[in-house]
Amino acid sequence: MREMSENMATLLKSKNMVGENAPSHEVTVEGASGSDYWGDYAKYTVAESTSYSQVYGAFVVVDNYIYFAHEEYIPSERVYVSKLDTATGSVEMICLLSDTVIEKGMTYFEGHIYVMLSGMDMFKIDLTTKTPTMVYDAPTAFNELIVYNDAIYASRRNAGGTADDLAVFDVNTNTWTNVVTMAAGRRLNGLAVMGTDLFAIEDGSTNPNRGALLKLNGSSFTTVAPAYSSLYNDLKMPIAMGGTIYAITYEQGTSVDWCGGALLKWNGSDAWILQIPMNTEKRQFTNAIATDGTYVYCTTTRVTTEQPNPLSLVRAKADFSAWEVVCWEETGLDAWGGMGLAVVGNKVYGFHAPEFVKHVPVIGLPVKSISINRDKNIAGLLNLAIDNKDGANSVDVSGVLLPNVEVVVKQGYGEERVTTFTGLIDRVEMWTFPQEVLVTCRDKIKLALDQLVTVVDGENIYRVVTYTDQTVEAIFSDLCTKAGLTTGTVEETGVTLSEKTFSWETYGDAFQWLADLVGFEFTADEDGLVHFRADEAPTTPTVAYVFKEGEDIINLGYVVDDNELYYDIYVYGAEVDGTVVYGYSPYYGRTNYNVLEQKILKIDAPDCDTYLKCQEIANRTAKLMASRARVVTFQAIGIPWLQIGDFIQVIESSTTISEIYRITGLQTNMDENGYTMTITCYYHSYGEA
Amino acid sequence: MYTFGSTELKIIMGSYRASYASNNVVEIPLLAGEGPASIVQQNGRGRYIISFDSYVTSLSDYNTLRADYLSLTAKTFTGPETGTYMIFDLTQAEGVLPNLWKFSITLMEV
Repeated sequence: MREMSENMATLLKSKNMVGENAPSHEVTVEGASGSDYWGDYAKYTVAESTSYSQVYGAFVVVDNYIYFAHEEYIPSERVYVSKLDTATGSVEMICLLSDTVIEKGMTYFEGHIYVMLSGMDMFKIDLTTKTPTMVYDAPTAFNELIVYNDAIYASRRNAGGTADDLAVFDVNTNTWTNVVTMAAGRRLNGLAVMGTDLFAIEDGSTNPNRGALLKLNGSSFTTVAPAYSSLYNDLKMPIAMGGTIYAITYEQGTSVDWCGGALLKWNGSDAWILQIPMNTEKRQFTNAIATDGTYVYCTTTRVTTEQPNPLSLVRAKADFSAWEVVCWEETGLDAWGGMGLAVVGNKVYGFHAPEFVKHVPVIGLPVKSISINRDKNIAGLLNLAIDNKDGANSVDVSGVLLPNVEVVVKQGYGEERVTTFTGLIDRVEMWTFPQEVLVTCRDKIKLALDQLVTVVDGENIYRVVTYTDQTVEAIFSDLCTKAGLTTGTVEETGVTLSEKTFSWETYGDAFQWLADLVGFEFTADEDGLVHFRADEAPTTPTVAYVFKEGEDIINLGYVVDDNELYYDIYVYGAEVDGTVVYGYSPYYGRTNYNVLEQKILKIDAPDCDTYLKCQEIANRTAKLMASRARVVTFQAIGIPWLQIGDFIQVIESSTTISEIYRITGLQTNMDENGYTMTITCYYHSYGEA
Repeated sequence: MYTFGSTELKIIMGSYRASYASNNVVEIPLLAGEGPASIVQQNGRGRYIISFDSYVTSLSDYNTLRADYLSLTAKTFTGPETGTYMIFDLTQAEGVLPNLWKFSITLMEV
């Protein structure tokens, strides 16, 4: 049941959904980098550590994986390196490193990941064997590691702590050698590689050259651009994009006067060019910058003394004329993380503490009609018709509307909308008459129905998976992760399986087997979360909505049928030695519906080897009959807040019904003829008028 | 001066019909109860249209409009109401005088 605002409840009874209260919708698909809209962000937490874990900004992207460092606070502040599979969203721990904190330094070089810890130890991790080796015990602090000219480079503090030298690492002898030794007071604030050149931004509190761009020239640095101005001197995080180096800065000053950051660029001329000046929004840039080749992304914090300080993602507009906010994070994400940003595919990943966040660009679709069909126990369906007059949308959408792209539908009235569908595209059709694009989607259960249970262990792929001594809910959750599903409510089943093997089965079959075993149901909700819970109706339900003739019922059909009703249910099974066992349940509504006494349902269940299993099936069958005795189907105005399993009261005088019903099916249709829905529900209990 | 793109349009006195759009309201009948037994819903609004009778002083100006009409080119309309419009309907030009070509035009918001 989803809460609806009081205003909305009043509006739905007003019969007057016009003007600013007209039915409204928002249909989005995942778009390419640089799309105009952004969807809600998704959070990942690191599951491996049992206690609170903080994700650092140290990361490296290799193929479709993001390797990142995270720290376990309690009990021992250990540092782990884990990897995120950006295709499935699963996080796997690679190794435990040390008991010290990690610095920014992390890079990938020749099959290994090199990590610099703030305890000044440098590790290399073999990605095949997942084993870390300490390769250097540094006497001084290092900044970020960067691969340049087929070697690992870093800026490191000199022995006296007075300057930052540029050093190169020899992976054969595990030694660092200075390439450029800097004079006292000169420090380096970030390295970038563009083409065949290495660039650094100079820093240092007493240095007049602070904020200058340096270029490596053999064994020394040449200043290619002096500092832009003293206001912009804390320049940092240089990145190269298309022959230009971009760097961000924020104005130095007292903490309450920090201004929003500025973007400077250098494109080969002899000076920095101010690309976007500091704004007056008082948003400070944090230590993260990334580019997808079109935009430059940054994280910002709001300058306030309030904690937690919210973190936002901003990007420079495609023409670099201004910053625009991609994602406001007014609550929920602390600012003291926000150390790193990575672009993989079309998504921007932000590293916050204690988790990291995926920002998905989306494209809004100009739809003509939206019809959604949700039924208990089957995957929900979505049909969209998109206007394509004169091919207006075929070019825009043809590269985007592909199978398995995520579609999110929000519907409502006026400005109040709620997510009514999250699913994946099954099929895209284009027609010339009428000129439209038809898109068919299934909800996230598609991932379970279409894929086989698979385990990837290094280079080995197994389709036979065995679980030993695990609870049913733990197996369910693990299978969801493997299938790429995000779980919502997973209730405790109280059943532990000594051993269960899934061999060349779909996730859907595996889920069904687990659900049948414990009498649960699995569903994907409107937000795409998968739930695994007992199919139980409470005895005193909360009524989500009251439908009444003359207010919101368009038409109504009411059926009482004894076709599928039985007086008693018997379930017969056999023990391992052949002894017959059986379970029995009466149908509780048999007197009410006048069921014939000798109308008996006999179920043969040869797989049931105990009395209890037979009894469980009998009980469930009896319960299921409750949903078949009195069924009401009616058409009403669209109420996107309603969900399968909600209780509603239906009041209609010609059929004299006024009881509480439970929803088992919902079909909604939104098009030029209005927003209506068809509800299928079964009788649950007498209602209070 | 009224223009569509860079083409100057002369408005025939009294023919200008100001922008108008349908309100796209639908009435959905309900099971009868007290009060009106229907629900009124609105599906946004239609596009604004402007129509007037006009003339140009050379056939080539008319041909420019006709090309825009056939290719559904959107241009800026400047007049009592200014905005980006395309030519939704254009009648055949009537040669009233040697250098006066008269026609009716309907512009649609894009």
